[in-house]
Amino acid sequence: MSDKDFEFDLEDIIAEFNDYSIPEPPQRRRRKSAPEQAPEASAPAGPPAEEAVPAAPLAEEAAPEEAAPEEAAPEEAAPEEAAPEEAAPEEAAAEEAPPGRQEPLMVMDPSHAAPGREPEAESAPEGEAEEEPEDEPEGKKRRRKKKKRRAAPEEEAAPDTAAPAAKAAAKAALAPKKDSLGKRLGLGLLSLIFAALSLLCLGWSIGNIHPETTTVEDARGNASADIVARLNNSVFNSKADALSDIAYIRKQYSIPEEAAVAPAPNPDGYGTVSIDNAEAVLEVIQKARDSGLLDGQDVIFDPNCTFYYDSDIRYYCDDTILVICWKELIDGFTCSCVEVKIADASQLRRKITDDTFGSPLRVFASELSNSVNAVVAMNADFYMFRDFGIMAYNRQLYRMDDSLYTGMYKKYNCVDTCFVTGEGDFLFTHRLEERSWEEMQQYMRDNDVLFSISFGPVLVENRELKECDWYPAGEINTGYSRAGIGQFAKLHYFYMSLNHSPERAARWTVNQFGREMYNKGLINAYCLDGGQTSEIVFRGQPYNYIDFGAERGVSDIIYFATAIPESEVTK
Amino acid sequence: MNPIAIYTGEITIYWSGILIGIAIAACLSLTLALYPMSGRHNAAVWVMFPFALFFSVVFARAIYWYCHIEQYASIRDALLDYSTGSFCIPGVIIGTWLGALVARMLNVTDSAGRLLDAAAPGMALCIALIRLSALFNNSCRSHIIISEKIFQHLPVAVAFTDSAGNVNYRFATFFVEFLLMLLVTVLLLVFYCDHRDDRLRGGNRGGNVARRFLLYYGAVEIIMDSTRYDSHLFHFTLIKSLNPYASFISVGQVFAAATILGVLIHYLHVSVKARGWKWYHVALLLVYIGTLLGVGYWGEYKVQRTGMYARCYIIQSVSLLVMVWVVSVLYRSCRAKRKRRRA
Repeated sequence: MSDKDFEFDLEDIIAEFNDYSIPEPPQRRRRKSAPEQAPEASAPAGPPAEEAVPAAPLAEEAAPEEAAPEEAAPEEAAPEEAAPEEAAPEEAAAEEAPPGRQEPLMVMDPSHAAPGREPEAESAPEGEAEEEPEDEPEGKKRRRKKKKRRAAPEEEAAPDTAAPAAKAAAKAALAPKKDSLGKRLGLGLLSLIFAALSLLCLGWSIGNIHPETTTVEDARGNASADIVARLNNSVFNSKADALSDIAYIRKQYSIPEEAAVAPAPNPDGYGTVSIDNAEAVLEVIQKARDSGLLDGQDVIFDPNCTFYYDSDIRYYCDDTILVICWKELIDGFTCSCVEVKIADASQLRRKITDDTFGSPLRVFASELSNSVNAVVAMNADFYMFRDFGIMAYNRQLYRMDDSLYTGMYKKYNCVDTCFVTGEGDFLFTHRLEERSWEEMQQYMRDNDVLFSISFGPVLVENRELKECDWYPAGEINTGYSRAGIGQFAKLHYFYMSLNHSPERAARWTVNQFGREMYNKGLINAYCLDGGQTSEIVFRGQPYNYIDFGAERGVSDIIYFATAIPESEVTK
Repeated sequence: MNPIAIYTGEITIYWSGILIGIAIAACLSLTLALYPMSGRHNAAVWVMFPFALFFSVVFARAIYWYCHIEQYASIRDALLDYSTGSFCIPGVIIGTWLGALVARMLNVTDSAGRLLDAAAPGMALCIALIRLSALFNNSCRSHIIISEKIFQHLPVAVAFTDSAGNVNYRFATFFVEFLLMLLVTVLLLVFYCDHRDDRLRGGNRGGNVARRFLLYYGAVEIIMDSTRYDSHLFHFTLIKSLNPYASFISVGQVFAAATILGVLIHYLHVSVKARGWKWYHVALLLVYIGTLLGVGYWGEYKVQRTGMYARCYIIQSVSLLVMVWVVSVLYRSCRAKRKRRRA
């Protein structure tokens, strides 16, 4: 840059100095933002001292040129501005203007708006687009630009005289509207009234909105206390204790119906046996037989069956319960089996989540099992997954919807229902059997029904195999994981589940599954929810291989528990 | 902790009720503070509030009744007796929206969208505090068991004692949601201060903050609802054949997904209307469909089936973030240029 680049015009400089004689803080800030330009602008040291004064305004003028992009920077850099944007149409005049808020009137010239760029309404006024003579010296160009910039605010301050009348009208519309006193009073009064109403609502909310603090139904409400039976047991056990030195008398235990949790099992009662040493389980069975638990009954467990190679046999035995779990290969499919003999019917129990009918909770069967001290537990009907069938729990009838399901079936009688009685027996009602709510309650009272399971169909009834062609639950005719529970003898039960195994997917129809249950010699058998739901939980852990390799949250389980109180186990 | 705060024989006040009262008051206060920033009179907020509260309670309860229809003799019982049962948050959003509409119909505001914009941060704060109240009523339920001792405390886990007296630690779903909704509140406040005057091309200015709230709320709710074991699930009374397929789908998640989809459709519509179909519209839609697969199949379905929480929830979270990004980009593409304000 040579000195000739600055053709100093003294008058211009003085005029400029006068313009800037009143310090303007924003401009001072700008000068700081462009420090590099200042020495360059004051470079011509030759001029006299009074001429050097205008160097500062020159630097000030140089700074805004550099600062102009910085002005745009915050918006350019804002994430919202990074999106592909095209030129905005001239919409400003039609823009909605909130009352009471003064928006600057900005009419954007579409010719200045380039795709992807902000319109430079402030830094590039309309006049800037004028053509400049090419041969004009650089210094003159700068001065001309300076003048234009100085003139620009004045132009903006004074609206374009050529602006259409619409602009004025729009500006008038944008001007703050002053509400009348009456209107303001009205709004104030309205606010006051609704504020009082709001406070009332708030107070009501505090008193009434408290979700999940109480349950809708107490499922234990109808459980029988049966104090006489408990007293009898107590007297009998006292006798047994008193005569224990003379003779062995098997004690009688039961779990109170209303008890939410069963006694914890004795850890010493558990055992695991390798499938190569399956005969060892016979010793446990013999022990149960000797204690009178088996009541002379045979067992289903056969140490000579084909066990699944990657499995073991687990058992639990005390004076009130014998449980054996094993995995057997049937037709090449892995079936997980559980045989249970209990001393008292109260040891066969059902647990629903939250102990509340209709609870939305879905908990893993293993967690439910642990929460009730079950020795062994299995899935039931997953009653919250579907809303048909008959649902009874703790002697109370909860669900029996007689609305039409499909065809001639009603929701309550479209499936077979299994009722478990106070004696531990299975009773079935069949599809299309008509009953009213009252008749069903009477049926439950007559048969001492504790709870029901609604899935089905019935697989075996009175030692007869039942086959089924159509059923609304369980996709019975397709190959699928299956689960079922059956009764082998008095207080003697068998549960089997066919699941996927790492080697082979489960592929049995319900009728195939029913035949295998029948082959076990059961009196009664009933199909439970299959698929990923079918699960055996032994000692708090899943025993079978569950489909997809993970437990699924369910709403209920059936479980077997020991009846020996923890106090006696400690003794 | 005892859930009852005050018991006087006839009156029982629960801690959760107090927390919810504070939540509602906080929502109201924040709305009252924000609404005048748009140059409008607070009368609209006062008028909206009782209606919004009324509709919120009714809808939140009605949705709960629909999900647990067997617990009540009729919908009348569910709506009149609040001593038992629970509520569904989606009803609060519907209720607030209706409250704003009523205020608009009564002509106390010129824009229901502007009113909802001012209410959006308050609603996020309200939901955050409602979730916090779950710590006081033992309903902070997650099916994720936290077995690592180092994580067995807030904010990750909360102790849960089962009926047999076993203590296990579960993921503190509601507490984490409380924290996330607090974050959403802050984001919405910033968005409200910076962008409340944003105008869409060919559209009005109002409603963008409210849409942003729906977007963030939807993203948070989808993943947090997935971790709950007491989700409110669909069931159909008319088309019963759908029940076997719908009985594991959460109403909260579907509502949340619908809010995100609704916001996406709105911005897509405005953007296409203003610019016509562009390549990036198609690209964004394809990305959105991809995120749907991530959220729905690789996230939700897989986590229900396989229980692989870490993997599935990471996929779901990333998909949801991308989903939010897609909607945000669409929003930017249809936003009219902001004019620089003069000093």
